[in-house]
Amino acid sequence: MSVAELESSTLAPVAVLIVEDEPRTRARLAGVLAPQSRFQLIDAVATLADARTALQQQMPGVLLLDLGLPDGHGVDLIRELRGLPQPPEILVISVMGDESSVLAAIEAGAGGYLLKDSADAEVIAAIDQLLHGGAPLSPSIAVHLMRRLQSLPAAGQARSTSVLSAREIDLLKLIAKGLSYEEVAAALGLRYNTVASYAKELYRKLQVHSRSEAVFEAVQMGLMSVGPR
Amino acid sequence: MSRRAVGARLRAVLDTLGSQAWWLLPLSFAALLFLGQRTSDIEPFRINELIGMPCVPTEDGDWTTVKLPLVRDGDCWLLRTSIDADALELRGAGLLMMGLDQDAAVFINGAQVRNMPLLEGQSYYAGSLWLAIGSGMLQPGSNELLLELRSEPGPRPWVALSGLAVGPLEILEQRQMWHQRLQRDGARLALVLIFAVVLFVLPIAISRPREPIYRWFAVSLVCAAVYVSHFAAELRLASPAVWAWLIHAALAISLWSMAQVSSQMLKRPPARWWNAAVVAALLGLTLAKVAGGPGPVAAMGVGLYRVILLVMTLHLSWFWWQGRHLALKPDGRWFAVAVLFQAGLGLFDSLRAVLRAQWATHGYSLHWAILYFTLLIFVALLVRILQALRESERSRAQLAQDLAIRSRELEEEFSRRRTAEAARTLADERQRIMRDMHDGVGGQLVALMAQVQSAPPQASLIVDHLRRTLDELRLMIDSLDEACADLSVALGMFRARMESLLTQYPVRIRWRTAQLPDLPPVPPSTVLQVLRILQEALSNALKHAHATEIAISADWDGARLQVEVRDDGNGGLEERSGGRGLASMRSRAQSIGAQLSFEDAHPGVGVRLELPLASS
Repeated sequence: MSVAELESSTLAPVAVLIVEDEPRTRARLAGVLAPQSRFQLIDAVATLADARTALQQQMPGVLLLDLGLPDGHGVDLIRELRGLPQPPEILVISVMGDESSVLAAIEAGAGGYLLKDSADAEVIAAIDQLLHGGAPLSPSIAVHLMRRLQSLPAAGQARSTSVLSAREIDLLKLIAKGLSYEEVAAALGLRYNTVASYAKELYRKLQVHSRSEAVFEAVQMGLMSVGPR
Repeated sequence: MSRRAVGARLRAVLDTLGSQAWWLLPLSFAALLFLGQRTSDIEPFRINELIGMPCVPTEDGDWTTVKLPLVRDGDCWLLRTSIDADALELRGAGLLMMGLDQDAAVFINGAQVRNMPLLEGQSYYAGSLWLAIGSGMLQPGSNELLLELRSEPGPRPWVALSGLAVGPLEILEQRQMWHQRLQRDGARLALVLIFAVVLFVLPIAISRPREPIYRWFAVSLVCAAVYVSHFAAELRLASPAVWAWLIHAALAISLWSMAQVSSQMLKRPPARWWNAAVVAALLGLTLAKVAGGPGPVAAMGVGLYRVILLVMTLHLSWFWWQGRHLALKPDGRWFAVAVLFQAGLGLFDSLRAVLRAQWATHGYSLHWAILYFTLLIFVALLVRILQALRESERSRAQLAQDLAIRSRELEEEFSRRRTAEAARTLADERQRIMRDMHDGVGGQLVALMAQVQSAPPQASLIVDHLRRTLDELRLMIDSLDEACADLSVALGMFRARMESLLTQYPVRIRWRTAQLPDLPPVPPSTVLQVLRILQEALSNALKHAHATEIAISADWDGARLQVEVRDDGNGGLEERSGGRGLASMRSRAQSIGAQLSFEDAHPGVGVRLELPLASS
C-alpha cells in the first residue's frame, strides 16, 4: 500500500510514542513523524520511567523503542506491555539490526525493528508496514527463526506437526539468501503484503513459543501451577 | 530391604545349598524309601518279602493253598516268612493281610476262619484282610496258617500278597484303620506326590540354563515317584500292568537321559538313529517284560532287558572313569565307582532271579541303583551349573565395575580436554576480534581523528570515514552472527544491508547471489574477510568508476565459492585506489586461502574471489 493511499485513508491518526535516549535521533524521529497527519506524536521521551508515565496517560498505537536506555533495557518494557489486552505495536530502534539484539526483542513481543540510520521515508514505511500486519525480516533473522521454530520440542506443543508450514519454510529460505519481499513475492506467487504478513506471523509464532517455553519452565520450577488462568 | 536385594539373597542361599547339597541327596532318597516302606513297619512281625506268588491254577476248583510257615508245595512257589510262630505269644493277636488280589479263604489249624471273595474291580493291592485271632487258635509249635487262594483265569495266573503282619490287636487295628482312611481319601498319595515333586522336579524347573535333557530327567523322576507312592498308599488307580510299566519306563528314561548327557560330552556323539534305537529297545523291552506272563519267551525278554540295563550302566561307568568331560572330571571316578557298584548289584539281582527262576520276585537293587545314579548325575550337573552361573555373575559384576571406572576416567578426561579446548578457542576468538577491531574500526577511527584535527576539517571526508567505520562495524557484527557461518546467508545479509544504503547512488545494482544452496559453515574470520573484500570491491566501483551498473554474482560448484563484483565504469585497475586497496584485498584473500583475481575490461573492472570450501 502506498503512502499516498494511506494518506488519503480516513482513519483516525495513530498515536505514537518515541522512547530514545539519544537526543539527536529522538529529535530526528520526532521531526519525521510530526508533520504526518496520520500520526499523532504523544511524546518523545528518553528513559523507561518517562515512558511508563506517558504510557499510563495514553496508550499509543505504535511505540518506537530504543533498547539500551539509561534506566534499564527496553525488552523489560516490551514484556510489561505484552500482558495488556491491546498492546501497542512496538518497533525496536536498533543500531545494527543484528540478530542478538533484535531477536530477543521480537521474542519478547516487538513487532519489528527500525535501523537507527534509516532514511526518513524508511521510518514511515516501517511504521506503515507494521500497522498493516507486516514486519521486516533480515536474512540472518530468517535463519534464526527457522532454526528456533523448527527445533521446537514436540511435547511442548499441542500439535505434533511442525510449527512451520512448508510455505513459511520456503519463504524463510528465500529471505535468508537476501531476496527482498518483492522478489520473494514474485518467486512464491504471493502479494507483497502477504509476504510481509508471513513475517509477522512468524514473529507471533516465536513469541507464542517463547511464552509457552517460559510457562513450561515456570511450571517445571514450581513457580506456577497448571490450571485455568 | 528392596525386592532385588531379597532376590539376590535368596539366590545366594540357593547357590550355597545347591553347591553343598550332596548330603541332601541320600537324605531325600532315604526319605522316599522310608515313605515307601511305611506300611510294613510293625516290628517285629513284619514279613518283608511277601510280594507275590506265581501260581498255576489247579485243576480241582482253581484253589491254591498257601501255608505259613511256608514250604514248597506242588506247583506253587510259596513264601518264606520271618514269622516264627513258636516264638510268639499270640494271645490277643491279629492278622493283617494286605494286597490280596484274589479270592481268599483263610484256614487256621484246619478250620476256615474267613472267606473273602474278590470284589469286582479290585486288583493287585486291593484286598486288605483283617482277622482277629482268638485265644488258642494259634498255639506255639503246633500251628499251621493256611491261605487258600484262587486266581482269576486269564493271562496273569499268579497271586499277589503284598504284606502280611501278625501282631497285637491294638496295633493292627490302628494300622487297618489308617489304611482304610488312606485308601478312602488318597491323602497320602497327594503327600507323596507333592514330596516327590518338590524334591526332584523343582530344582530341575528352576535350574538355568534349561537343557532339554532335564525334562527327561524330570519325567523319569515323576514316574518313579508315582510308582513309589503307589507302594505307600495301595492305590486302586490302575491295573498292576500300568504300575509295573511305569517303573520300568522311569528306569529306561533315566538311563537313556544319562546316556544322552554322557554322549553330549563326547567330541563325536553317537548318531541320532542310535539314540532312537536305544530308546525303542528299552521301551519295547519294558512293554514285553510287563505284558508277557511266565514262560520261556517272557523270561528271555526279561533277561534281555536286564542285560541291556547292565550293559548300559557298565558303559556309563567306563565313560565316567575315563573322565572325558573336564568340567566333571573330579567327580567322574566317583560316578564310575557308583555305576560299577550298581552294575554289580544288578548282576547279583539277576543271578538270584535266574538261579531261583523266580521272575516275579526279582530284586530291586538294579532299579534303585539306576534311579540313585540318575539323581547323582543330575545333582552334579546342577552344582556345576550353579557354580558356573555364580562365576559368570561375579566376572560380569567385575567387568561392569571396571567398565564404570574406565568410562568415568574417560569422561573426566574428555571434559577436561573439552574445557581446555573451549578456553583456547575462546581466547583465539577474542584475540582475533581484538585484532580485527584494531585493524578495522580502530584504523578508521584514527584516520577520522586525523581528519577532524586537520585544518580545516572536510565534512565530506569525515562523513566518508564515518560511513566506512559503520560499515566495518556492521561487517564484524554480521561475521560473528551464527547464521552467517553459511556464506550464502552472509551474502544475503550483505545484500540486505547494502541495498538500503545504495539507494542514494545513481547506479543500478544487479544481485545474483540468492540461488546459492546452503553452504558448509566457515569460521567468522573467513566470513569477515569475504565481506570486507566484497565491501572494498563494491565501494571501489562506486567511488572510482562512475559506473551505471554493478553486478554482484555468486556461484557454487560443489567445492568452490566464486563471488564476482563487476562494473561497467570507466577506467581500469590503475585508476582505482592507487593499488593500495587492491593489495589489502589480496592479502585478505590470501589469509583465508582464497584466490583473488582482477579483470581489467576497459571499460569496467571485474573482481573475482574464489574460495574453496571443505564440505561438512
